[in-house]
Amino acid sequence: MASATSTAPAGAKLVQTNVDYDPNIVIETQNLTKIYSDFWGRSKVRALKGLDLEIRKGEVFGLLGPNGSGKSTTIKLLLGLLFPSSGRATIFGKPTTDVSKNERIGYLPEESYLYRFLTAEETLDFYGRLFDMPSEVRRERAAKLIEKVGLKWARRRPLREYSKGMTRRIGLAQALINDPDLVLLDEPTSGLDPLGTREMKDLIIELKEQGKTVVMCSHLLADVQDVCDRIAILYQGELKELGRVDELLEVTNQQQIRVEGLTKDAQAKISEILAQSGGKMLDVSSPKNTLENLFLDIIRESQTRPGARGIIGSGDDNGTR
Amino acid sequence: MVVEEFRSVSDWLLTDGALLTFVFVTVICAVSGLLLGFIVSSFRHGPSEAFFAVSQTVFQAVPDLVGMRFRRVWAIARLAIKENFRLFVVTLAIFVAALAVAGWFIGGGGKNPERSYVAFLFFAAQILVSIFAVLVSAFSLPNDILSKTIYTVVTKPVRASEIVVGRFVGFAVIGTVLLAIVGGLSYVFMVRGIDHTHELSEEITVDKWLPIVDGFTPDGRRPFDPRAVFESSVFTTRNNDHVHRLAIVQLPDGAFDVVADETAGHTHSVKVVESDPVTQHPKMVRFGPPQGNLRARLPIYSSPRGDLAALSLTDEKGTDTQGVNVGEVWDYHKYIQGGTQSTATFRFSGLTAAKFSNADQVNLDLNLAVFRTHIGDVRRRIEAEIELRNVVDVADTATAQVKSVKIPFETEEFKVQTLTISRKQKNGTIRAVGQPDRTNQELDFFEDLAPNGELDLIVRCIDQKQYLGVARASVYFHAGDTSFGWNYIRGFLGIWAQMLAIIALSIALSTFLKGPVVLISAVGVVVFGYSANFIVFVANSVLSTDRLANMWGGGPAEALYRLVTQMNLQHPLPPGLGTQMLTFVDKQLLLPGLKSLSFAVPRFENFNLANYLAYGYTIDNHLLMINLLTAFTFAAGMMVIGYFCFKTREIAAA
Repeated sequence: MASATSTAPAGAKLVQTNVDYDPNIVIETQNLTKIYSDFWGRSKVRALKGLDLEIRKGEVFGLLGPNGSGKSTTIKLLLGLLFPSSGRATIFGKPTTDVSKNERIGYLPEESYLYRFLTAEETLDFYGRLFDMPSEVRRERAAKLIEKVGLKWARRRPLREYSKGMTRRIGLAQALINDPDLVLLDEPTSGLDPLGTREMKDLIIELKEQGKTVVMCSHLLADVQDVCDRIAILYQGELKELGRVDELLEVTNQQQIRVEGLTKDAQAKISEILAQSGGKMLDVSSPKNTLENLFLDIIRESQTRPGARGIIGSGDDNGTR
Repeated sequence: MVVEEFRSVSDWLLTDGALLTFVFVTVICAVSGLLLGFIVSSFRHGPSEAFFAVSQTVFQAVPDLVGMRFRRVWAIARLAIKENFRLFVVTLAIFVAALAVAGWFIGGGGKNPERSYVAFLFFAAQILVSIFAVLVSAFSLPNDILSKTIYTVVTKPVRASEIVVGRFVGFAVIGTVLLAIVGGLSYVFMVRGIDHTHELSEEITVDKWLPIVDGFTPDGRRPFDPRAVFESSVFTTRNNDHVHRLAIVQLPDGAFDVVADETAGHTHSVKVVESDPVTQHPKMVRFGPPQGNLRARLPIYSSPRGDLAALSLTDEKGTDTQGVNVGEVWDYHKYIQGGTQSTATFRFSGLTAAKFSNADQVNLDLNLAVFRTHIGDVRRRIEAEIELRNVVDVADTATAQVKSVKIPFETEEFKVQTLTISRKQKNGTIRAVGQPDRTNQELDFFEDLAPNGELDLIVRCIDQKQYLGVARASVYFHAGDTSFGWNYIRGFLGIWAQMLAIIALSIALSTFLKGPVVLISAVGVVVFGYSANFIVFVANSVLSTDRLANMWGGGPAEALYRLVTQMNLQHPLPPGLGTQMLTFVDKQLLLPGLKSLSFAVPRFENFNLANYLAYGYTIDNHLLMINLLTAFTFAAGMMVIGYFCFKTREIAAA
């Protein structure tokens, strides 16, 4: 089990009572299902269908999927903003409705849902109070985070005067106010300029290096590819793909060879003399697909073969993996 | 001024059944909540899951209550304050504007200008603060949910209890500050509006001082002060729509003083500036600020003693009676007949010297009504008398009956009349069993007449064929005056209690309804609470089996039918199925239902304590405590309801 945040008071430290709890598993869902119903209890939308997921400590995990695929629903279920229709989910071995789990969680919502009449300093002070932090710790943490997200010059301006990018930055700062062990980022680079996007990705990598677990959902596949260790691809509420990014993007039925110092003749007869040539073989590996291609392939396949799982990874159709 | 509230807190809790009502309403709400939760959850997850979910929710309430942290609650409260600061300023500006406009209409004139001031200021403060309270608390949480800012709060280690209580604290703080400023401004406004002074319209020469002979002025009037030896024919200048007259009075020690009459509910202190060098009659005087209009009398009312009522009447033959019906059906008073054995006995307890600001001169205030059957002597008012007696148990033969001499007085209608009773009473009578009466005894008010604080006061009307109207609150010992400013604050505590109840109600509703719906619902509940006393009265009347107690017009359904068909109240409904259905709906559904519901909401009408201030009475501690207890209990109940509603709400499903 990861240690409680340094800012949490002694009395607020999590006490783990779940004997089955594996401290290396930060998030676990079993058959997690969410059905949205109308006022009369009639099912309207099946937003998430039997999601089984394990997210391990220290990894950067990406949730991918088109609009309406169930990414945000998953995040909301994990945070206790929604109640599951069936199945279960735990964070740090605790039910998602247990507020004490939030001591170790930082959450950056899709839009920065912040109080626009507060300044940046007041915002961080407010959220720091919600973690029951003493005033000195709040002040110190707020100053450090404002500096980190580059808003020192605007720290006393009310958020209503902030641009979207600035609001995202202060939103990120509030997500980190408690030095969380698990960071949930919903579209973290949305609204950021290229420099801000780069800084956000650097920050995610920095969090990973600090041993923190990061779960992010994003439409920007290049961002996910850059920072995520593992990804899950959802489509219409179903898990379509789950695995390490480098493995998922590997084209398994092809090889690529990189050589050095070959003559022109040898180049011409490369296929015949590869084994006998005096060239030094540097690397033999499978070429990499792009995450964008993988994503689009999964979506196309899901539309033609609804309900199937791992369709791209079967290796019998388009040759990826 | 009609004071109906004589209850102590313990009477209210136990005798009047407030505690029982609270327990009953709590149990009903708890059972209804559990059932509702179980039914809704059963529809979604099946009965076994529902049972587990309901149990879990109930048991989680304990850690959610115990685990509340002040820092988090205060953080939410501060946010609520900052969020509504702009509305706070706007509300204050509206109140200041209202005061500015009111200044054009409410002057210091009229018979009792302080009553107009108090009535307007309390009404304005009550309405404004109530609107502010309902606006801030109705929209705050729904707006947070709508704008999703609540996401960043509930994903922190904040408990539902902290969110609900934090908002309540925040709104209560900003509302209290608003009320304090409104109270302060209105007090200054009233004091400045009433404050005035006068000057003499002309110099009072010796011939302008009219001598009082045999209790009358030369033009046949009673002087305004019975102690007067001269009364001036010169008036003061007109200010605040009134003038005063002066009199030279002789004090008990033989010295002379100059006093101004009581007009428009007040008098003025008078300082002699210049006197006639020969006769020493004042020629020029200076008037001080008004006195006696902003006061807070501390009354000691009669109270029941064992099986005996606080006030009991006898008829012309001396037998117990309910009083004479003089034909005024809405009159609050009960009447005794003059010139007969008819009496009104007031039973007092707790009369100790320590309670009186001046125990040597005990003040008895009378607020009597008079019903005349003939004009009588037009120059004199109706005459009455009082007699004081100690309390002796019938079975107690050892204790002597001690009674004062009869003290005659002329009644003054439509005002509070004060009789000053000297502590040392001359010509008293002591009657012991088996001994001759001892007359002409000097009696001590506290040691002989009220030795253990208990005293009977008997009132009689002397004039034949005239009737004196009495009520429990119309005769009381005036122990002294408390500070009007402090009484004013106590009056505002009533508004504060109402504000807390409204905030708690709106917050509870806002945990599961949208802002505009909360607003309408909260206003509906408050209006219902205001009407609760009337609803209970109507229900009791219509449901009574006593035909004479039934009021005309029936219940709500019948009233609606009569309204639509423009049918007279006294006209009987046409026989038939329709009438039977109307009666059934009224008597079996609406009235019992509304009556039951009325016990679940505070009687908002009771929070208005303005009358006590307007008529110059100290607001009773017990009454204030009852109001505060009602508000706190209701607020606590609303917090619990709000907590469970918010806890079981899917925030992101909105």
